[in-house]
Amino acid sequence: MIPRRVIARSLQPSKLIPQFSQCLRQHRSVSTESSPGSSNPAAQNGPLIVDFEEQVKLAASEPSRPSIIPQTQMRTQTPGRPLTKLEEYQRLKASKHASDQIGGILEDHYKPHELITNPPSPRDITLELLLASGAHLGHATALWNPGNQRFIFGIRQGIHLISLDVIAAHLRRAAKVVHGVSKNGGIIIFVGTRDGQERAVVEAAKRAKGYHVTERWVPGTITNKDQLLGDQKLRVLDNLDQEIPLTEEQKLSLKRKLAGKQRDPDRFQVEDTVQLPFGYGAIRPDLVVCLNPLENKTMLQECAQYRIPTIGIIDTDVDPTCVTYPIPANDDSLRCVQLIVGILGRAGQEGMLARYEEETDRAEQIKREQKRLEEAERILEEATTTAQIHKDAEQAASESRQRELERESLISNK
Amino acid sequence: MSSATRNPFSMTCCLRALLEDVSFTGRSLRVASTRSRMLPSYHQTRAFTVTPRQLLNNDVDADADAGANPDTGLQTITDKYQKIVDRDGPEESFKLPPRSRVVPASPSYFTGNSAFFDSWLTLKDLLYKYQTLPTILPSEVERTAWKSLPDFRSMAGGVVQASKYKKVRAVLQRLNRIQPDLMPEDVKAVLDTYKRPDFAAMQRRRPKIIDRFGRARAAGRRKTSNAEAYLVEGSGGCYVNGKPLFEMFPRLVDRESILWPLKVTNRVDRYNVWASSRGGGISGQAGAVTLAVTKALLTHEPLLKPVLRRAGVITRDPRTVERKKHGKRKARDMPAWVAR
Repeated sequence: MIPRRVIARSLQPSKLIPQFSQCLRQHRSVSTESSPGSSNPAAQNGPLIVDFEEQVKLAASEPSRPSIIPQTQMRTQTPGRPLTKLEEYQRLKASKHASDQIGGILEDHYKPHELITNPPSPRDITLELLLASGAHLGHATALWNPGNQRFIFGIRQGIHLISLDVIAAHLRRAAKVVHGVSKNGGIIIFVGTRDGQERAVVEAAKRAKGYHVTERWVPGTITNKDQLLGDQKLRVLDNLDQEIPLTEEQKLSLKRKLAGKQRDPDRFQVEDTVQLPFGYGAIRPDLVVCLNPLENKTMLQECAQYRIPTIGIIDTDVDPTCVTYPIPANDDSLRCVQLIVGILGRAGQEGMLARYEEETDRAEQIKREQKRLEEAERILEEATTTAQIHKDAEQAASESRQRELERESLISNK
Repeated sequence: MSSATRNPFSMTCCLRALLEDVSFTGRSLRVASTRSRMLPSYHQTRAFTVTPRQLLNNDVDADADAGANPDTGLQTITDKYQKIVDRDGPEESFKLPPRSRVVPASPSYFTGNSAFFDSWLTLKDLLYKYQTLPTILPSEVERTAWKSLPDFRSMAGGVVQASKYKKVRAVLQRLNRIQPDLMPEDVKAVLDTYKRPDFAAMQRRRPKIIDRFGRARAAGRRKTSNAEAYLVEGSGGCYVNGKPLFEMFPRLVDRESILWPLKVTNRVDRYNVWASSRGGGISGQAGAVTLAVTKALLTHEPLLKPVLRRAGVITRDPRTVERKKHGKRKARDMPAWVAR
C-alpha cells in the first residue's frame, strides 16, 4: 500500500475568501501560521453555520478551471425563468469546484485512470510502485513453470512471489529495448488480447506511435502477411514522421506522364506526397510486446520464425523462453499490466523524441557544414580575386618596367 | 511503359513516371503493376533469397546465361524473371528517398481490419472524453436510425462483421444519449456521419385525408384477414363486401365487434360504413374490419383517439396461428407418451 496522507487544505494557499477559511479553521485542529488573527475572539464568534449557497455563488463567479464543456457567459438569472440544462450543469460543476476546496485532501493515492492517461516513465520504476501494483504475485505453486525459478522470491499462502528487484531489472531492460527500437524508427506492436487491456494497449501504442492488436491475433499476420494485410494502406515517412512532399515540378511531370500525349494534364489529380505503389507488399514488425503470452502462442511462434524480437509478461506459470525479453510479473492483475504497458509506451515515446532530436541536430549540422563550405568557397574566391589583382598589378608593373627599359635602351642607342 | 498502358490511372504508374525523372537513392524494389488478392507469380518468386534488385543488376549475366544454356529444362528464378521481362518489357526500379521509412498508415494495421478498428477507436475516444456528461433516458432520445451495415462498410472502406458493427451502434447510442443542450460539437459531427441521411424522409407518412366525396379510407388487419373500410357521414348503414352486416356476419359477436368503435363513441347513426374484407375466417375478417373502421373514424375525428384507445380497438391484435414444431403434433401438443 502506498502511504496515504491527509493534508489540511489550509496549509496550502487557499483560494477561498479569508472570512470563509477562518470560519472553517474553527472546525479544524490545524495550526494557522499564515493568519495569526484566527485566535482572536472576533473570529471565534464567527458564524458556525456556513452559508453554502453563498459560497457556491462566489465560486461560480470565479473563473472556473478549463472544462470540456463550452463555457457560455453566466447570464444574470431573471426570476421565474427555469434554468437551462447547460446552466444547471455549470452550477453543479461550480458547486463541486467550490466544495472541492473544503476538507482534507488525499495525497499520493492510487488513481486508476492515471496509469492510462499519464503512465510513469521507465525512470520512475521503483520497487514500491511494483509492490503497490501487485506485480510480485504469481500463481499457485502447483502451476509453476520451473523455468521461472530464477525470478521467484519465495512462497506465501500457496502462491509464488516474484522478486521485485528482478521485475524492476527486467522491466528496465525491456524499456531500453523499446526505446532503442523506437529511436531507430522500428515498428512496434503492442498485443494485449485479454478483457480490459484494450484501452491501455491502444494508449501505449498511440504514445509510442506504434501499432496495437487488442482482439484475437489472426494467425498468419506475420507468416502470410501479403494475404492478410496486403490491401491496407502504407505511408512513406521521413525520420521526423512527416510525409515526404513532392515539389510542384514533380507533380506536374507526374500529371504529364499520366496524361500521355493527347490529353490535358491538368485533368489528373496527384497526391501531394510520395505514395507507395500498390503492390509493395505488407510490413512486418520489428518488435512485439505481448501482455498475455499464454493466449498468444501462435504469434510468438510466428515472431520466432521470422527472428522478430518479443517482449512478454511472464507469470510464474508461463514458459520464460517463449519470448526474447521476459518481464517476470503478474499478468492477471489489470493494474500491473497497465503499469507495464504504460511504462513501455512511455519508453517508446521517449525513443521517438530522441530520434526527432537527433534528426534536427543532424539537419542543423548539415546546415552548419554547408555554411562552412560556402564560407570556405567565398574565402577561396576572394583569395583568387586578390591574387588576380596582384598578378595584374605585377604584370602592369613589369610591363611598365619593360617599357622603361626599352625607352632607356632607345635613349642610350641614340 | 507497357504496364502503364494497361492501367494509366494506377498509382504504380504515377510513381514510375515520377521516379524516372527524380533520381532517388536508397532502398530499391521492383514494382508490381497491379495488385490482386492472389499475388501474381512474380511475387511468389520474391520469397527467394535473390531479390529482384539483384536480378536487375545482373541483367546482362542472366541474359548471357540464358543464351549459353538455352536447352536447360530447369525453371530457374532467372528464367522466370526473363519471362516477365519479355512479357512486360524492362522494369523500372523503384527507389525510396534516403532516410525514409515505409510504415503502415493505420495504428490498427496488424489487426488486419483497420477499417473497423479506426472508427471504433475514434468513437471510444470520444466516449472516454465525454463520459462524465449528464445523459438522458433512452426513451427520451429523439429517434435516430444509424447507417446500415453495407453503408458503414463503404464508409469505413473495408470488410466489417455484423457483430462488430453492433458494438459500434451500441457506442453510438450511448453518445446519442448525452444531454442535447450539452452535446459537444465534435460528438455531434461524428454522430452525423453515422446517421442515415434519408431517415427524415422515411419517417414522413402519407397524411390522412378525407376525399372529395367525404370518405375516409383506412385498412385493417387481423390474423390472416385484410380489410379496407370507407367511412362517410350518413345515417348508420353498414355493408361489408356489398352485403348487409347481418348477412355477412351471422354471429352477433362479430357484428358487435365491427360496430364497437362507433358504439363507444356514440356515433352509430352518424356514419355509413362500406367495407371489403379478404382472407382468413369470419372472426378474423370481423376484427380486420373493426380496425379499418376505427382508423377511418380517427381520420374524421382525431380527438376520439383516447376514447378508442380505452375501448381497445386501436391496437392491431398481433396474435396469429403458432407454427407447428417437429416432434409435436401441433404447435405445442405432444404425442401420447407410452411407458416402455
